[in-house]
Amino acid sequence: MRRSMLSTRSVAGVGRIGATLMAAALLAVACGSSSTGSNSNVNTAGAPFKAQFGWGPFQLNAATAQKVKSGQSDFHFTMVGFATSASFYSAIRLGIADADKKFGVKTDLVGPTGFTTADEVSAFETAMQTPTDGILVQCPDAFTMVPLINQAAAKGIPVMTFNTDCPTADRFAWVGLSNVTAGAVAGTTFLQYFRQTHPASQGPYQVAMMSGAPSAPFAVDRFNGFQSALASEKDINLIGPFTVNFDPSQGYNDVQNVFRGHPNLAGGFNADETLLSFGTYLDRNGLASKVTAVGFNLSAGIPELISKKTVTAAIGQYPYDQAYKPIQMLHDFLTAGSLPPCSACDVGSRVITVDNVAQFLNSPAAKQEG
Amino acid sequence: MIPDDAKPELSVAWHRALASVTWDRVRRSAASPATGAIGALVLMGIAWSFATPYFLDPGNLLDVSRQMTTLALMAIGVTFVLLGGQIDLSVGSTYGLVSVVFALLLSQGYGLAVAIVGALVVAAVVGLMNGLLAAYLRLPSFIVTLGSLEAVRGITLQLTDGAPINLFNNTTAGFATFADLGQARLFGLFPSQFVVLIVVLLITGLLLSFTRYGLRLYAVGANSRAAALAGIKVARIQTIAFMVSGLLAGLAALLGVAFIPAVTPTAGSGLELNVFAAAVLGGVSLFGGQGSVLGAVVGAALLAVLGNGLVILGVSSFAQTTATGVVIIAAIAVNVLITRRRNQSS
Repeated sequence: MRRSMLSTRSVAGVGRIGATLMAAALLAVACGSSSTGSNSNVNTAGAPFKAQFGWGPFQLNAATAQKVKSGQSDFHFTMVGFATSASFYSAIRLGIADADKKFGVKTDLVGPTGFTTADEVSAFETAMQTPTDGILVQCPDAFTMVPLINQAAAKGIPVMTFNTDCPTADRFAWVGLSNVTAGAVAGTTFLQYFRQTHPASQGPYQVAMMSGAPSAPFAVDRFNGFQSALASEKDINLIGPFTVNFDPSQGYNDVQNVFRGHPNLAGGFNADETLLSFGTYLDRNGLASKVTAVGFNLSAGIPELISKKTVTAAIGQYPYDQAYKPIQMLHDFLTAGSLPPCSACDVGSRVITVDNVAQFLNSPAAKQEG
Repeated sequence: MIPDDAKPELSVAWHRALASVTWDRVRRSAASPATGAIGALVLMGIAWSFATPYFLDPGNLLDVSRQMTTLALMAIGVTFVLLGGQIDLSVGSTYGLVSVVFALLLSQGYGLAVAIVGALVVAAVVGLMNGLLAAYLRLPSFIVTLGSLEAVRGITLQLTDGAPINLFNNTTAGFATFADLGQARLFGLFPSQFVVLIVVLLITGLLLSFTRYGLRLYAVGANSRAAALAGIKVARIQTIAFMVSGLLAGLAALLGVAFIPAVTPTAGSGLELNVFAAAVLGGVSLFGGQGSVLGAVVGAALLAVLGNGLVILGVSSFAQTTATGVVIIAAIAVNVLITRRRNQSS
């Protein structure tokens, strides 16, 4: 996926149609390895004005169709998300900015700064009522946004889901990360390093699960994935989930309390950037060699803790791509009639350890990870 | 002249009166909501110490003293506003803005002194704006500060574009010392943040108990119209209270950054609810004129001990939320009952 995006950038200067077709082809190749569904059941005849998906026919709304007919390509998209103040979104914004610049479109990011689903629903409804050529939506769960997405599709507005999917909705495609799979990757990585210092024969061990929002769907999925990876390890007792404040100094207090109650904690899994508080606690209390720490995101300070070997590994989730690619797909559909090459395009996750962290220390790559 | 033979009777009466006054004082202080919070704190401590051996560990108690600092400092600030008959919902957002302003000033090469002063000026300005709108223009402070809660958070997010700021590798002269102080322990025991809290508690306690400003603040909160008729400049008194609230939220933010040199623009989100819970648990009246900064600090300690014990006991975070809510309601109900009884008896 990464390769396809870079390749797409390298074709600047070629005609727009040719470039987008090439990008779509590259995406198709790249998605082959990571997507969980193909769009082979779609009929592109008449696209972008008409298309046939697995969920039914789609007919482009009149206003956008008029733009396409007149050769305009300055489309206006609306991206609807939640928790838009999270560090994850700083990389999303970067992806939006780059995609907008590259494809000559304008994408507005709307949605609540917190996890308020009702506010996200309102933002989507507003987006549907205002002139827009496409909507990208982050589903708070698998069900809530489905009726709204179906309404938008019925009105002829192309809808993509990003980051988290609602697979039963009438959406073109999903570009994101399977949080269950990513949690499992975290679990496998955790085990790999944990066993180097904690042999099964010397257990049992306690491992804490932590998050800034432990009831949020992303955290629940990641916990489930992590648990599944450790399911056969009878000597590891998972405890929690514990709430660790997103504010690093407040989060440190929470971690401190976890250790007070579980002084022999052998490992920790943070479903988000609260990994910083956990790592800082290990660092200040000389626990790095005794406690294995794995978590998500590469926000401020985490790469430094990885390079000090205090934090074992962080799972990156390509948030930049999760914004850039669906915008690209919408643009490609409207300008070239090409449909997304995959219906469920998983950007995958990457494991960042001391071996590859150097590229994330104060570099643009770090910004793309949020 | 009092006849000599009457003296013994007088002496008895005098002693009776004195005893009555003293007993009345004891009774009043025992019935004060802050005392109720202290009682609840002691009871909770006893319960936790029976439930887990880790709670009474001196290291744990010292950790809790640091953990409560942010909440306690902000609760002291909010106490000023509440005593003056107003409310300040913007403290959590002010905390976030001050953290970000401080981090941005440092990141952009300004010196440590400029960053500290700049951040605190911003905190005071937020308080001043709240005061001007709520006290001088007499807009409802609930609405004004609800608005500033959103506006200030929005500014914070705009300043950072939602991205966290990393100060771990900041090389500004003096910043390393600043961070060391944030993590230091007096005599190797008491966290520096707790020491700051004690100093602030003493200063604000003296300010409220022994200065004209303190007396006037209580008077304004108890009856602003009567206070105005008595010549007290109500709006000025209340505006100063808002500024104190902003400044203490700012101070809490700076201590937070000193402790862990990384700033998230969402820092302090939702903190205002805990701050209010701490103040009210400590016996500060939501209707003005009643309460003390000591009570607010005890309320913060109560919440910190509650959270500490629940985590140590391994209670799931979901059950913790429920337990915290139930304890807050129970403690406030007890406080209200105590206050009602006191008012009836007086």
